[in-house]
Amino acid sequence: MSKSFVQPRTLRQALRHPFTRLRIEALRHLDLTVTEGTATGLLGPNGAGKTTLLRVLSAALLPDRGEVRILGLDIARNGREIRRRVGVVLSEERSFFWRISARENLRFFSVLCELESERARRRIEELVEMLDLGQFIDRPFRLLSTGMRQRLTLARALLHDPQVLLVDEPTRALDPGAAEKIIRLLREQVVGKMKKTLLVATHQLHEVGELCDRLAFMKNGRIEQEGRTAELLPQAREFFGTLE
Amino acid sequence: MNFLRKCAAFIRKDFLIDISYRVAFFGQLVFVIFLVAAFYFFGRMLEGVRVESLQPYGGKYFPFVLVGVAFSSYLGVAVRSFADTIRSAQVLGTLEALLNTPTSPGQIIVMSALYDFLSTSLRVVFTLLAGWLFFDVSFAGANWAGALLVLLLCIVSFSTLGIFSAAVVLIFKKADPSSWLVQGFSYLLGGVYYPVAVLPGWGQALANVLPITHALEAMRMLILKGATLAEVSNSLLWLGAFCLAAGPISIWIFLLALRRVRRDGSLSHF
Repeated sequence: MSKSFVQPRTLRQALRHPFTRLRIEALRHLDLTVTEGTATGLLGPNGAGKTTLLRVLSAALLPDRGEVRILGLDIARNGREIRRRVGVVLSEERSFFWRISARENLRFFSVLCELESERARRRIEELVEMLDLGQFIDRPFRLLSTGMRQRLTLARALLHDPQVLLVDEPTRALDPGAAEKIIRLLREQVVGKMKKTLLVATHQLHEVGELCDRLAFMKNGRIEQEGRTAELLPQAREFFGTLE
Repeated sequence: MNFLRKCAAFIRKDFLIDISYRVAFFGQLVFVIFLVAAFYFFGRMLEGVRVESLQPYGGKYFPFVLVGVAFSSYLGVAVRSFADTIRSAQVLGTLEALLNTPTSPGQIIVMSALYDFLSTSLRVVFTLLAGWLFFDVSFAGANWAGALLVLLLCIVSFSTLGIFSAAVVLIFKKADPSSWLVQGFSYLLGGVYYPVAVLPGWGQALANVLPITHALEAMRMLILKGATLAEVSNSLLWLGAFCLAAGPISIWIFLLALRRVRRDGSLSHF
């Protein structure tokens, strides 16, 4: 029987607005179960709470109420251990050091992920090959295209060989060719070859159709529906339609 | 072992970033020469005048101010570096990526300031060397081992103020009144450019609670007069007590601030 890998229960999260400083309820009594080895797509419009949920699951945000278990560990007490086992791809290309090379960036983050130096070197080489980063790995980060940066973000998240990968809008700001490449990498390498448990937040229907076994529809900080992709995907257009 | 590797990784990363701005990197060393020269000529203006308050330090203004300017730069870097690290990581977007790793936030904040302390040390050495080579300051008989101990206490005590300042930046983002308050009082009252003895009574009383006053007093006695550690024991005890009392408090406040921004989602705001 497959194990529950990611399990937020009756999760509530209020966030402070960056300018007005008012508290906004971003997650309301949210429940979800992601099982081992599956690829789950979180579908929802902007502001549904997808990114907030991923931030809570990566232990970057502490939940106000409710319980989150990742690989059986309580996130409130085991944040550091969870960060050892979870990789995060936030759609934030600014999260690298722009003046140094892509390789130096990976090398730096590998030390923070506590990889021993020889293992880090080998792991970087593996990822460079797997994600086809070879041509530009020694270029300064600032000279890379958006597609290259997104692949580098994926490489960084996989450095410590995490069991769970949380991915936020993997194809945002990418042209169709680069977007297709990222989805293929996630499907063939991350899920297919590396057998990672994947949770992807997006609002691109065709991506989840290609990539995910299961879907969860999110609206107003809640999971509205969850189930197998084949069953839910036909309803997705209707779900998005009701939001307009 | 992991701790040392992480320290080395931060230093390497910051050095590579720093050296990528070549003009600024070498420009700051050239600036040191201009600064030292300016104080040298200011000191010459006072030649032949007996200044009573300078007598405990050998009587000459230039060596007095050289040591003051060199070591007070640690205060500037300690107070600013932690807060600037947080601020620039918020603005550059690297803060959340750093905190998503298994490395603890406490280690990240301390290690982020390491390179600044190292480059400041290089500037301090360069400042003292410039004084010795070009402007005839004598360090014969200086107690360098004692000075190293004071330097350590000086860095830790200044850093407690910096970590507190970083906590303020985490919550209030840009506004950091603690930084300019600490620096303002320290440069005004701490004896950087003139002896504390020239201040009025209330100024001297306030100066006595500032770590920089004790750090510079001990440093000048050790470097300019070759004093023993026993002769500067009052300053050492004061600095040690400040580190023990303020160190845990500033780290506690920083962790509280981090917990708060992790709860309300403002960690990556700027």
